[in-house]
Amino acid sequence: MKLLHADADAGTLQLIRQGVLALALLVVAGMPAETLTAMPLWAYEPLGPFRLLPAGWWEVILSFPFLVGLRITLAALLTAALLLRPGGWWIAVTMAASWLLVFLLSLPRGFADFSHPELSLAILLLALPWFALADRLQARCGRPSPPAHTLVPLTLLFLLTYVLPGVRRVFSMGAELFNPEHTWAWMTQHLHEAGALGPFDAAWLDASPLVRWSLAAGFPFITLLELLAPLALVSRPFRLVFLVAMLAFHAGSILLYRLYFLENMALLVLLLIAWGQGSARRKPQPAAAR
Amino acid sequence: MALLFEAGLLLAGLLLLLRLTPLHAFFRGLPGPHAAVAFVFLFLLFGGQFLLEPKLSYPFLDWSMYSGRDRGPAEWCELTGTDAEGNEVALRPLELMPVFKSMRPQRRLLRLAKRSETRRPRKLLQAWGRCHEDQTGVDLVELRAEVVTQAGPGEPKTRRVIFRVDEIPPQP
Repeated sequence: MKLLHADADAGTLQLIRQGVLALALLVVAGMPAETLTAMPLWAYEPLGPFRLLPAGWWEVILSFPFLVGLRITLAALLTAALLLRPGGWWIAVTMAASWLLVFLLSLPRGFADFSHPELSLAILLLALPWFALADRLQARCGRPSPPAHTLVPLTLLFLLTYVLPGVRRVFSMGAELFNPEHTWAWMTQHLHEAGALGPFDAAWLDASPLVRWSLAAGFPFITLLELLAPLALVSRPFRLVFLVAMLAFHAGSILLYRLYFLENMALLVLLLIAWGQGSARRKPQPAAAR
Repeated sequence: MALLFEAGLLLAGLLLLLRLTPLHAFFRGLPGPHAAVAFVFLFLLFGGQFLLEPKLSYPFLDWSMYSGRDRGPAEWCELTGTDAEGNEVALRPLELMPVFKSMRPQRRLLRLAKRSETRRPRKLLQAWGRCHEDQTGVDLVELRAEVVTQAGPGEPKTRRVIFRVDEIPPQP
């Protein structure tokens, strides 16, 4: 068994950092946060550490100029992080950008429910500058860290976001997990809420026994893969199965009930492919962040 | 209690995983600063899953997607409007306000409807109606929800809730 990213080179670390930053930039570009000004202020409920902000500030924060300014500032910070060489400034800029992204993502959630898409990306973006800081500390002590010291824990964190729902599902559903009726009822409800995308509506689901049965069988299969997700770090065949199955699962959830885990799809490809594996063995590589 | 058991089992699974030779060797060799960062983020991820309310632990929420924790009769909520020809059309919050993406803002309406806070759902509907009127020509928004009022053993009871935007008195 060989550990994924164990021999990753500095180029791979840089590619993954740039990939995470570019994905965050796409999220900011595609999120019209300023339209939230149409929502009544009383319906907003601040989340997480932002609950500590004084109540009077939200009137300003949820105003058109502030929201536009927030998006522009965040886009500028992410672009700067994409262009900067890893170093002290990169760490400071990425840290600021990561918290601003978490803040921006909290705004629509404060009017809706606790939704998970984009949060894996936000958590990885939060972690990246701290790992870069750890690289710097190690370099200062004359013990430069290989890129694996960032990439392996980062990939493990990402994979754990699959393990946690898998474990929760097994505990809360038990044998119900294998009950196709439950899966169909759940899917019909979500289809109803989200609205059909093209021909994939509840009638289509009802009319296709083959689709219904394959979806019902796929549910425990995906749960099993989620439970075993960290094995993707050590087993190449499992990694391949996991990657293909999860991409299909996320694509299916977009088609069936408009649950857009697009960032996760990109992160799966970015983190579970050994981009520069082996080149580090041929040529010793220093850490990218100094 | 169930959560404690779940957390314990998850932790045991993680420790077992870390016993795998390549991972074991890797984490033993991980320098202090990197180990500290990894530990803090693992702690936050687990803390969000098991310890805190999502509204407190954000962005480290509990990951319970597709889990049947809310088993029982389905609760649903839909928004409808009428177009210029008087036809009834379904309105999706995702289409009304793309900023919500997959966030299902109707769940918030459902919670408000469940608590019978009639004034608030109507005001929220009015806000959505305002967002929508220029885009589609749909001039009325109505919320219909079916909420569970009594779950558990025996026959569950449900209640149908309807809020109409045109019943809201004009703003002064």
